[in-house]
Amino acid sequence: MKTLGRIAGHLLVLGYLLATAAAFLFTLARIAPPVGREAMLVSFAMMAPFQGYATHVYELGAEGVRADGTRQDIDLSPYYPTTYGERVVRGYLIMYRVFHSDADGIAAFQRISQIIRDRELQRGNAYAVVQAYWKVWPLSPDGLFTLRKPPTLTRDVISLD
Amino acid sequence: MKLKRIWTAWDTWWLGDVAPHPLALVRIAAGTWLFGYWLIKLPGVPMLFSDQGITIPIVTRGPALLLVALQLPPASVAYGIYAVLLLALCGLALGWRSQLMAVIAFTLSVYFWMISLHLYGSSFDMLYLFLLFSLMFSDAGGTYSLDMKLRHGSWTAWKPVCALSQRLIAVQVTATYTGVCWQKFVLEQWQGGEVLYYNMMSIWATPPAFWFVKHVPWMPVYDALVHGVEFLQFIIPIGLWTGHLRPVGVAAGIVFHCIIVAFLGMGWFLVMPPTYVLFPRPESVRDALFRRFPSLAGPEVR
Repeated sequence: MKTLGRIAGHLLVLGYLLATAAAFLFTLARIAPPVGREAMLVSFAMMAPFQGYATHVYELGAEGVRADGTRQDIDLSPYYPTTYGERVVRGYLIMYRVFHSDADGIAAFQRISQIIRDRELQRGNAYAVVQAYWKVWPLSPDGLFTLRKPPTLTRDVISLD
Repeated sequence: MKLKRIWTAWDTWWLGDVAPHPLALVRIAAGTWLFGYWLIKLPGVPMLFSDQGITIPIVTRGPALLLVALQLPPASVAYGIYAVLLLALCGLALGWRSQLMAVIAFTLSVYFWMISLHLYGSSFDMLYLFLLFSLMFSDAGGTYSLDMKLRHGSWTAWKPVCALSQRLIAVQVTATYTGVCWQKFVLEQWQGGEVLYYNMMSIWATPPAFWFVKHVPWMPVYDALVHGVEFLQFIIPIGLWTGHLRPVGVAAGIVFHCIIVAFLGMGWFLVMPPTYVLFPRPESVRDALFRRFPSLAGPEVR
């Protein structure tokens, strides 16, 4: 039993080291292993935070379209009991797209829109359609929300570029 | 003969019995930290982890049973699962059936990650999962634990434990710092100071960061800061593994994480500095603890 436990321990170590080495290679050269992609991605996620920057904020927004055609911007803040940073990042569906594909990502945004429509209906706000979109504005040294107003605040359709 | 010696050294380093004190300290720190991390999510449980929120499980294809298990539960069920997770983390911090508590906490954390936390996609959530995963393989309650108090009548009684958990965490911490550092040498967006300039006014920026970018708008400063960050991240793992450089590694790590908190408000990685205690020989940590804090010294039990 003790020998079996030791063998299992060494197999665990071997698997862990292989996943870590593969993640390191992926971190530096974006070369993915032919097998064990999920394990590599988990390891990669632990060793590669903070890879770049954006010059604009992309915040997920949603607009409800009523049966009579009138439109209403939906306040999503009640759905995000988090810090503002987490709220914005949650809107990107990052891991969802990493573990699936960009096409699945687009489908996921459509699902999110439907879920928002259902939740809003429970709150008494009936919309025929909910459209997700990005609220976009440039960063400024004067404050995160300084330029979050027209004309610097713009509205972009959801794309994964 | 030489190969056998190498194998024996490898086997002993990963799976040999060692003093439990460093791992116990990490168990207490990580258990307490994670308990707090989850506790502050309490008001957000319905929106984050139940069918009241706007979240989708990460798994979309696979066995029907898994897909059913990952359906978002009603808020009352989500609260129940969440309460079990909190209890498991509390048990882990106290050192009550540590391995079982780690298994429960890991399983439920993975569950919450798969139904919601994956949307955040954060490195620290993965590190937290890895910490719990690692603590499943050694008895982190080998000392300073409720288990030792109940079984041997003393919180400070201790027994040797398998080194595996300690080694996995130490190697992962090394991999994290090394990967984070080396990627900066190849990533296009880390070849200039813009990455720090823009992030210091991003969704993560703190008031001191905004003050800094407003009053220090010169890009050469940020170019130099990038090199400073790279140097800190480069020196941390080397220092942690090297006896005479260890104080430098520890200091570099603490300074680095304090800067992250001050300018980007990311306190989540503060769970890493307590793991530095896993890098020296466990027996050296035990002896140093006993010398410095005699009240923490206890009898070895079998």
